[in-house]
Amino acid sequence: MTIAAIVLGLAVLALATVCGRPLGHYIADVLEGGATSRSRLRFGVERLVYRVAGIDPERETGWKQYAIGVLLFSVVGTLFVYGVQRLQAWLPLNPQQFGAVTADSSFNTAVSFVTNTNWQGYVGESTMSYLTQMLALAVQNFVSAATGIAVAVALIRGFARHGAATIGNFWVDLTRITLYVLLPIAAVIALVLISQGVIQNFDAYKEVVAIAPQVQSSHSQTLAMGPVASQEAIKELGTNGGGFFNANSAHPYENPNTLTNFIELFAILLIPIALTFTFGRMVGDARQGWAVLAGMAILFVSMWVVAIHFEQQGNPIFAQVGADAARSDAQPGGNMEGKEARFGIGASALFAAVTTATSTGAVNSMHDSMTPLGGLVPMFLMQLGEVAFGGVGSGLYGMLIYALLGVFIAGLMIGRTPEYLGKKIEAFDMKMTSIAILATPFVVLLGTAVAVSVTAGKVGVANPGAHGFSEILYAFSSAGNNNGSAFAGLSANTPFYNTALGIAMWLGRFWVLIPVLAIAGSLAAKKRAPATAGTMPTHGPLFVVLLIGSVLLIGALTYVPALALGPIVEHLMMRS
Amino acid sequence: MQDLVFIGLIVVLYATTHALVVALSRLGRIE
Repeated sequence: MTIAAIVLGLAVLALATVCGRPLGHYIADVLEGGATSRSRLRFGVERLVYRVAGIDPERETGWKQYAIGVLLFSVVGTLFVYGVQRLQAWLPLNPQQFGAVTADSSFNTAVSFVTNTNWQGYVGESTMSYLTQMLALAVQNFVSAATGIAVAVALIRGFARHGAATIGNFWVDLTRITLYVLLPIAAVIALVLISQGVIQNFDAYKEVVAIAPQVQSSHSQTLAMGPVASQEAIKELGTNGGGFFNANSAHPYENPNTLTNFIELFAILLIPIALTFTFGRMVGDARQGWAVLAGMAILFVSMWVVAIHFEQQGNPIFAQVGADAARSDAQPGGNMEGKEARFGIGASALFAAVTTATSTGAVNSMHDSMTPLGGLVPMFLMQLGEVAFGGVGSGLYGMLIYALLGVFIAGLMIGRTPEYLGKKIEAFDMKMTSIAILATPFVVLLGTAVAVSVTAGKVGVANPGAHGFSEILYAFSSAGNNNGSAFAGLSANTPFYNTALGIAMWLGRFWVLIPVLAIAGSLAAKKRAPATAGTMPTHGPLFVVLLIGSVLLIGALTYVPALALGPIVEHLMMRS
Repeated sequence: MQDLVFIGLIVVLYATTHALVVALSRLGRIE
């Protein structure tokens, strides 16, 4: 484990926290209407959107109408993205004259981008026209992220309000988050990325003469072009993760150097961290936000250092065959397979942890090439529900669900009615919590079981045995938790996987999000109970331990048996 | 034909999730 890798990780965490605090407060002000009163222009743009869409911004709704709004918006988006892919051959901005995307791949990609997963069964630069990349995929990068934040804020309102019948207006939240938070920050990040060499154009692909002969003695090489920077910025900021190119952030036109790598890591963590401050601000107690952030940070750091450790240790079989895999001034040592030389082990392991701890799924190295236990880390971070720090919005509402579970368990232990932020946690809330927590493991484990049982699932595996099982488990963990990263090695662009993973992504998103909104509605209607001597404080170390314990308990009980069949067996085989 | 299958699947996914909203809403009122 190198000092440089640790410093890099702590630096990006510190910067995201320092910048996340004012951003979190700004998001709270924007969504409660405070920040908009200062600007006539912003009010004007917002009013125009409402007028065109026929929205009454003054009318708030209960959780059911809020949920139906989310669902309607998502299903229309899914049909639109599906249609654009199927019709792209007849649409403009298609200099490579790509034909229609296949029906099963279009379905998978449409669900993938609408659910903020960005699982990519296709190869971007040889499948999607520029119009499809921008109008279908990049637009969903913005609005799916805004939807996640809106749901998290609706849940926060549930805690903050008392005796209320409403939790906000989905269309207003969606509009404000997109206009005032995501668009301006993404524009700034895109310009910074362009300054560092990320491309942004509508050119046809370029044929260039390579300096060194390529395979088959050809000196010709095709360089894919496109409007990359504008998509790259929101890809990280919105924890979407869908790359313009197949190699994602390992591609030099998406992530050219160590500075852009740092910026992308920062962009991924910024909003998930900021939302913990939004939470503290909106519930009127900043310490509550800090406690949730502390739980997230401890979980993340503890998993991240495990990944660095095993990647730096490398593969012991190298030593057995006489290869020098030790770290020295001349070589990084460890496991460099599948990693970009310009990033090395530290920045690659950090990126793998950040992208799976959040729901991003962007990659700057190939996770399939990680050591068994190094690769277990991103898989387990997804399986924990991506709550440290989680996707934009989904991370916070996921962690708050675990907070409810934690105080419920604590209430059982001490024999008191569980409370969180002055709200009594009752039977309905716990039923919704159970659905929200169990929906994802159900999708992941059932999907994996089906895939390893049927021929259509097994033919996609290039590495039979424990590693092949890991690839399938990773794919369903990624889809069910709306991450989108791939272990690779699995041929997933088939009708079976496109359909099965598409269904998994939909259920993993909405069968969690809907009970969360139901909890928001239930909590908003309750009166706030005054704190007494018997109330468990939820801003101290005890609560943080309880929160982490709840996450790990559910994660371990649910996934360790499956992990034992994949990466753990592979690790033992490698060591034996 | 394939388009009908996948558009139908999207509609089915929407309909089942909408049914979940309705079911949870009723459960909330009962409790």
